Amino acid sequence: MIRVDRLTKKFGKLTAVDDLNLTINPGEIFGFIGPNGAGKTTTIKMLTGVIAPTSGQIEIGGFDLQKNPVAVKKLIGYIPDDPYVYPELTGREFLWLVGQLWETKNIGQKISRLLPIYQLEQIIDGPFRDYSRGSKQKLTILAALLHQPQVLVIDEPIIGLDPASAQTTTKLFKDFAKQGGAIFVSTHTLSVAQDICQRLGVIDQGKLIFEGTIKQLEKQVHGHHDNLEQLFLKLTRHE
Amino acid sequence: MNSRAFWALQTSKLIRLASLFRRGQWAKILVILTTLVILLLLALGIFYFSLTSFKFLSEYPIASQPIITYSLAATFILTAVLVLASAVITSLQTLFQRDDNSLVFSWPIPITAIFSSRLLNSLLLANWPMLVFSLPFILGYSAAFGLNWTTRSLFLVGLIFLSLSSSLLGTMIALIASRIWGNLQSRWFNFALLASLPIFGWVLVKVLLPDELTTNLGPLSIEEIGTLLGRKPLLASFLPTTWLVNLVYFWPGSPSVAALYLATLASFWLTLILVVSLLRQQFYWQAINKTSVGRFIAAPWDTVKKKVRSFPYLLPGKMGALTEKDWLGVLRSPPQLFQLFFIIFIGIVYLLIISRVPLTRLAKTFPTTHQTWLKTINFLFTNYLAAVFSLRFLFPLISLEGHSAWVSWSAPLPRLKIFWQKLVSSFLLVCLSTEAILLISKQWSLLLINLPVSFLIVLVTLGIGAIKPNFWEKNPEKLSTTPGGLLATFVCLAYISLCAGLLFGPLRYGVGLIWLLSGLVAVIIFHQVQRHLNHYEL
Repeated sequence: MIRVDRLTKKFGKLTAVDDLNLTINPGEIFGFIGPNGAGKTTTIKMLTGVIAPTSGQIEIGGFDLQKNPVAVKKLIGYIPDDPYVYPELTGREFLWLVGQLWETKNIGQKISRLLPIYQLEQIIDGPFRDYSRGSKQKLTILAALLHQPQVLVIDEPIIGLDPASAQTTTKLFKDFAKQGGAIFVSTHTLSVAQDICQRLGVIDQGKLIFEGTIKQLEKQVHGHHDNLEQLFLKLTRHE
Repeated sequence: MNSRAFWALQTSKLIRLASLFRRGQWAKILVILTTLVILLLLALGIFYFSLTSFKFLSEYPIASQPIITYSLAATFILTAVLVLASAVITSLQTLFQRDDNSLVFSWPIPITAIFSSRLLNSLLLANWPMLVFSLPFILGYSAAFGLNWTTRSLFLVGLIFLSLSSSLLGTMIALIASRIWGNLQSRWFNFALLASLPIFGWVLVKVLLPDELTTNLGPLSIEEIGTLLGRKPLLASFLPTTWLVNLVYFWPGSPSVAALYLATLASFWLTLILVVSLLRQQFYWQAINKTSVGRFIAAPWDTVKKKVRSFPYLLPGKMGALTEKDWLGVLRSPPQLFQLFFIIFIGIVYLLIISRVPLTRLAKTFPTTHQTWLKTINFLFTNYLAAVFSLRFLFPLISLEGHSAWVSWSAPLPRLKIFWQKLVSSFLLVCLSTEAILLISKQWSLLLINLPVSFLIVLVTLGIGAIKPNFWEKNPEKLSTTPGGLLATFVCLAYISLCAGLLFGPLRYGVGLIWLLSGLVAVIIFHQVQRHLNHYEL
């Protein structure tokens, strides 16, 4: 579903993402972890077509992102790390806007079906600038799901969410994958990655230093560890 | 504690300014310096205009006295109105709608110190019409008649006092309105304000252009205008600004009159200061709470299901949705909306003035050169107003998409199409407005040539906004003063002035040259926009 081939992004002299290769299959949740400034968000921005890569190729659903960006973007639902939305629009207007941009049919009905997931009905007609961080995050998740995408690209999905909403969100992602969707999720919440991801990629200083299952990660860092956090720290510690 | 906190807040601004030099932010420094140079040039231009006009008037000793009293009183009224409106807008932005509210109000400093610091900023910003327009005008008048330094000082004190009083009054209005109506986002309040603008404009124009002048204008000589203005009590005569002018103008050099004059100014000023400091104690914190807390928290359950309106409301499809989103961004943001109202108000006042001047009779009476001047002024004003609107509201449009790039740039829509959506909707708005101004001012011959001019003004502002975007700034007002904004201002002003030169200058084929010039600039801007749109680094 997602194929990334020799993807590189340079900002002047800095190489933010260096020769990245990845494949994510339908029905798979792929976790992308790494320290701050490792190149996770830059990778995501390239995957969603927000910024252009310096070199390399991204293929989603069989379409080349560089050659056919509109077709690729129709397949993607993107949940950003900073849920900033036009502050003067209401939540409902924003969902309608997203529905219009992605040429979704029956937008009103779909919005009505999505709102109960997080019980947003009471605040949906208020302006976005009045929303709490968590409510903004919930609305961006719903916006990403509105056009029924085949791929979800997620940057920090549960930051700002209360425990119950976080649980709802992880279940939502698992269901999405069960129905054949592919998920690329970047997160610092390693417990979430451990819970929902079948495979992991660890990026550090722009380079992919590990790709595989948690068991393969344990093997690479020699020995069993209690949780993903210890493995991650051992893998990315520069001494 | 209060004054220490106040000075600490003031010093922090100087530190930020100094850090621009330390960090070598030359682009920002250049913007500040160039803005200052533009303002200085404008002030010098007004000084020169005032000096030559009053020197010309001095050749008509009998007529000049009432004309001078009238024009000075009019200047004072205009200053007061402009500063008042500017202070309301600036205060709403400076005192309330601030990104650093949650940070500053958590500091262990008195709220009154924060208010005083912000008030000082607001007053400095709001008094620009006095510094740029009125001060050089009065100085030009003083130089033309060689007034003695005491009279000059009295005039300047009067002007500065009037301007500061107006700005304090504007601040009080903003403070009280925010305390009562919070975010000022009531649809009815804004509608009532918009509807009242023509009434304010009508009163102002009635004061500025007395009936006696407009009904007789044309065949009158300077002496006759002076006699008319001097003979009948005009509406302007009843306003304090005329008393102020008369007091100084007829001041015989008596120390007691001067003392009375200064005491009146000081006591009025002190009263205003007292009222504002009382409001500061009573209102500011309450008003801050009312404006910073969201108006909307949650709707009652029983009303939830009734609201199922679809969006966009007026226009169809995704382009309609994007256009309405842009408009709502302005209409639902009080500082932006009031700035729009300010521009509309200027336009209304201009139209009312134009409609009161008997243009047809003037055309018959005045020689061709005067008619050309009239057309030139009309063309320049209409397009400068369009440029001000475009620079303020259209230039930031692409940059404002930056923070929501995860929606706009990741949507299955070519970026060029988003640019076109903004260009077409903005052009229609600007073109219709400028055509309306030209229609009302009976400039039929300019209607067709206005099309490429309006298009290029919109393209230049929107295009340079796309070529030199700033995706980190969320405040649209600040975006207009970035290096890109300054470049767009220069290009727009140069283009409009060149067009005016081509249209009304000695060259033949001016209209054809404007089409050619507009086409050429449009091709260059389109080429650059296309080159930049797909290579944004966010």
